[in-house]
Amino acid sequence: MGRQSVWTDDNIRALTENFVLAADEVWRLQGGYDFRKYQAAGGADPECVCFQEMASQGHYGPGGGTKQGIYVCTPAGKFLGSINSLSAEAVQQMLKRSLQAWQELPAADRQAKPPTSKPKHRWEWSAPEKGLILKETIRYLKDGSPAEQTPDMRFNHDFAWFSAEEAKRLIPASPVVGETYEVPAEIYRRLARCHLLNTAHGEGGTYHADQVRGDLSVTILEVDPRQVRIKLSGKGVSTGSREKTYGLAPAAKIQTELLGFARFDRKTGQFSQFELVALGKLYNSTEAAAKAPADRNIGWFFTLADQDRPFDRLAPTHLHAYDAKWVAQPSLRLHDYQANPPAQK
Amino acid sequence: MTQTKLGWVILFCSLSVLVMEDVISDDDSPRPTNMTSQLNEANFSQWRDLIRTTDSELAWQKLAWTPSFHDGLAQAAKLNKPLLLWVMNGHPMGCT
Repeated sequence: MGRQSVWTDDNIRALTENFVLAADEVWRLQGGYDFRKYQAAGGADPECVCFQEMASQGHYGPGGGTKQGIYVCTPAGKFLGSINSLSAEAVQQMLKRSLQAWQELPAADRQAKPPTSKPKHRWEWSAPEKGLILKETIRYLKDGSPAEQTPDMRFNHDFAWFSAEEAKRLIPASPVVGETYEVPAEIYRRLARCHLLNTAHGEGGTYHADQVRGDLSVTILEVDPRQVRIKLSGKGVSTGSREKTYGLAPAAKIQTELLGFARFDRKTGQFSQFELVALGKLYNSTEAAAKAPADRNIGWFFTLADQDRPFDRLAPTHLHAYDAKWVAQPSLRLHDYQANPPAQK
Repeated sequence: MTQTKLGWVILFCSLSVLVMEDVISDDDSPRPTNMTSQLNEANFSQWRDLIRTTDSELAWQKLAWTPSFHDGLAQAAKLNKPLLLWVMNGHPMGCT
């Protein structure tokens, strides 16, 4: 909600002219729950340490816990002010105080060189070359037909990545119009485990491979020497478990159906159009046997990200949980994550 | 069919369903069930338009955000301006 309540305020928009604006993900920057444990464990990414030193002077102090919020600092990383608020008025006052603090600094402090903050690892660096980069929108839905509904004001975004090799596996080697083919299971599994999640109003838990079941198929609609047009359809069900989270938050049961249309350019080996809608029925429990539906449904929409927009190049939130060798993991893993559950004894 | 025979058939079918439910509940792995399909080619574009965002909903993205703390510090040094950093659990421009 802060995205809409704060950053669309006219006074704040005018004030931002005095600053360079940056946005980033805080869990990585703060080194997990407690930056002191991160540093004690050898965590030393310069970008993260620079943030940790600056943010420890902010509204949440130096202890453990989230450091999310809005900070103002000098280019050298010296703390000037901070707040975590959805109130445009409160944010405006903090920005004014910080700007005044900046103006009162000696010139030498204002012109101090930036610290060594070049990161050693960022998830965006694993973006697959010529891969399928999808932008995802997530929004709660009500019962009834789409014509009877108005969009929920709150929504969320994420990104889904598939390598060029993975994306090509959506198209059979010799496509025949009218034929239907099953999509490789790992494609559906990645969507279900890391993207068909209850995240419309905030981050949520993911699923493990043995907690999702479903299928996705491709029907060939058109084939010519330049392109292949396909229909995607499928359904599935995902269930979390309070006992088997393996470090990830438990995710509730979701039953899904999927439908989409895409166009594959045979010359470039990439998709030139891609639209996939998924509808989900939410349940109030993590368990597979859950029968009590939640009081709302959920929808996901995937389309090609616009690579000319900087924020369409962000990494998927749960990239750390992808079962993909092309994802470069950091030297110190912040998520207590195992790609697959331990073998049953 | 007599009423008595019909009663036995109904009882047998009911017990069969109960036994099947027991078998299913022993296996806690997920499995698709018969959800009433709401999504089809005729209403695909309506669902898509209901879920996807409009330009007015993304007005906050029109500010000149840089996508990382490091890039922001470098830009702030170049322009000799203070840095306004917005950080969330999950990237503020992505899933948060």
